[in-house]
Amino acid sequence: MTARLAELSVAEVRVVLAGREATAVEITEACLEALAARNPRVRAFLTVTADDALAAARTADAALARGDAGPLAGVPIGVKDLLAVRGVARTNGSAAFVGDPPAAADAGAVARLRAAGAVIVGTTHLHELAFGPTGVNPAFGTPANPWAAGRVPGGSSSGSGAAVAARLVPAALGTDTGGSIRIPASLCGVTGLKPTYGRVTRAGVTPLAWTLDHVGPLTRSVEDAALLLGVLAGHDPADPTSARVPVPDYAALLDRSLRGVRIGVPRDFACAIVDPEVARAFEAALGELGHAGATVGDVTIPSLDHAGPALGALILGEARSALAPLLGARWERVSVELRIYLELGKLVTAEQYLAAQRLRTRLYDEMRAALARVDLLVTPATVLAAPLLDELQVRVGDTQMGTLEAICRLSGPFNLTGLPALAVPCGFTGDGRPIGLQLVGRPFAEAEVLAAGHAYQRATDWHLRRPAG
Amino acid sequence: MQATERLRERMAAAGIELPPELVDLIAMAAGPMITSLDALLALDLGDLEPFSPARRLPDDAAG
Repeated sequence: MTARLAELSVAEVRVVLAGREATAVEITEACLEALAARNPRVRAFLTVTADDALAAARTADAALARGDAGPLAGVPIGVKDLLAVRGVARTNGSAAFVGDPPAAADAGAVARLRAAGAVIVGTTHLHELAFGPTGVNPAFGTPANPWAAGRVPGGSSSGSGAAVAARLVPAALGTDTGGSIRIPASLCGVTGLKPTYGRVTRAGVTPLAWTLDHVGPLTRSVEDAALLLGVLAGHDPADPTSARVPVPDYAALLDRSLRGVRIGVPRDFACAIVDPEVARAFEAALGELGHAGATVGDVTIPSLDHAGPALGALILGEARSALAPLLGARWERVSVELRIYLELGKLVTAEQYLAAQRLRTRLYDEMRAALARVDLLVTPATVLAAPLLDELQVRVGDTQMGTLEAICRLSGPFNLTGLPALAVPCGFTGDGRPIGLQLVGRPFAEAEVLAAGHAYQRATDWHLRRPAG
Repeated sequence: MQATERLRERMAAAGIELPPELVDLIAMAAGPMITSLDALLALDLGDLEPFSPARRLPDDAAG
């Protein structure tokens, strides 16, 4: 029973609690037992807040008994250690922040989860200061990819992806600047949603690149992602980029048919450099979407070819500006890798930075034009499955390229345009590594993106598979 | 080797302070990306203004 409780999805927790089959305290205890037993091997969590979690679970049980429980009452959730969690000393995955005092208040997204009754069970590992897409973090330990020993979990929300994949928690929060939710989702075989820019508050989140940063959920299913987004979305005056756009009931809008939905594939870019096994899984996924009623055709978005340099200029430039003052005297305690990135920020000229920002306008206009002809864009989530931990360069099809560039190639363009993008599992390589599919929608059209992802997950079982152990 | 040398010169000009032995590593892992930044300046961007996601996306959603 305990093992089963620890492995419930968000939707299942709600059903179990509503049916009085278990209490929130029992579910939280099961989750804490799973963490104690398996986190030393998975290394997904940096901090486990057992006492606080059990107190929150007792509060959830009381609310359930009164009949006024929030939509996430009793749901155990992990939080990427880039977001402030009240009472927890945030490390940002960097030795530079070790010794900092505990946070006095929650980040906005964490506060929303708590207000909805969620049980925060701890903070999760990440690539140092979220500046990297592999999740490799020599100083703090790299989470294991639960599907593939010796392979990266993907980052930067590495612990969140590994925790959900390993069934340590049903859901976790991540952040996404160049793909940092969708990449670990893809490489660890879970569902990850980067909402529209401004949809979820970034208040209380350590910045990496202000114009690219997003907060969103990693879960085991699209249904669970919809449940979390329904709580996370909405205007927050504490975040100057937070949008005043109405929030629909995402979960209630999930059960829509794909019949008549038009799907566009930016094939010239998305399929130009891609691992053959990923390409096969992607084409099979397109077939499934078509079988479910969608019409699938190709679209052209010419400026995607320049997305990589633009993303590089913006992340290097903004991260240097955001993090150098934040680090201050702690500069000497960061890893060599981070120091390199921050120094390379000096190479970005104002002219290059502004060219990248202006290119974003063109890329956005092109994507919007494409999304006037189709309802969704679809690509592989990543061009390759999880690479080896120490690979600086990878071969993708016939192309030799830097691992970082390869991993971010298909996720980064949607940070540039801020459009909502969802990663869902769509297959496995021959040696058992997960492959992800990415669905992208119009601004603030998360409901349409989630409904399409949910329809795909009703037609397939990739998201239900679990790693051994 | 030429690319590494060019990168070394470029980093020195920007006042980058890193141990020399790291330059080869940087050239391999990030050299093409750094070189590609120059390509942004060759783009004909016409009269496009810088992107403002916090303004543009809500405006489009409302419109």
